[in-house]
Amino acid sequence: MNRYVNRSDDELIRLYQQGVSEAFDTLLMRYDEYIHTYIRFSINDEDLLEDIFQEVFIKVMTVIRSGRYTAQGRFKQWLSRITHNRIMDHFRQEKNSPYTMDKDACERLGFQDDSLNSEELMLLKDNLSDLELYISRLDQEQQDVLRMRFWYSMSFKEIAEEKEISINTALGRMRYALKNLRKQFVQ
Amino acid sequence: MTDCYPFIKSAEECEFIIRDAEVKRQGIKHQQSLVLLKTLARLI
Repeated sequence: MNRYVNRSDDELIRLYQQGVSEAFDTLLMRYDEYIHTYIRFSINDEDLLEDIFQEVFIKVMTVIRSGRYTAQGRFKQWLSRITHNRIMDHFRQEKNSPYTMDKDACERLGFQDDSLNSEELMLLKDNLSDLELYISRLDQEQQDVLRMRFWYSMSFKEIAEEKEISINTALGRMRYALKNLRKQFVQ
Repeated sequence: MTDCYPFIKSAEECEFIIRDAEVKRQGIKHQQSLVLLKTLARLI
């Protein structure tokens, strides 16, 4: 068992400032799950989640090591703020990227960003309304499988359990749904 | 699918294998993060 596990956050920070690396390990393990969950709440991409997780703790160690840590007694709040700011940085960068979408479209697609120029927005809205119309023309059973699969990222096993059908039936409904959608797009 | 990969018996099993592999990959990546951070903490 880690001999520093019972130390307070402030004690661990002080020890790490003094060069005791195991004190940082203890802080890392203490807040590992909390920060991971915090990031996951906003970020769905597992690789990006891991990058942000690393950046947060690199910031923590550099601030502490350089003697600039001033949040005595409030480490968790400070850590949360660093994490929150890093997540916001990510969304700001996304907003400046040419591949982001407007808020309305994002909400409908379940994304979390809000920038598109008006031309891109019109194109997206046209395609979305076409797609929504075509989906609404499918059999209800096919619509359900399609939405469960693409909107809620459910596996065919989960869809089959939810709908009380076999996996083969779920797969078949998806196949027909896609076939019918393609047909409508071509027409 | 099952012709190319005869050890996979069904779509269900295939989906399970893919999900399981992804969960394991994520777990390994997180363990790598922890090792990296602990190493960095000793270097800076």
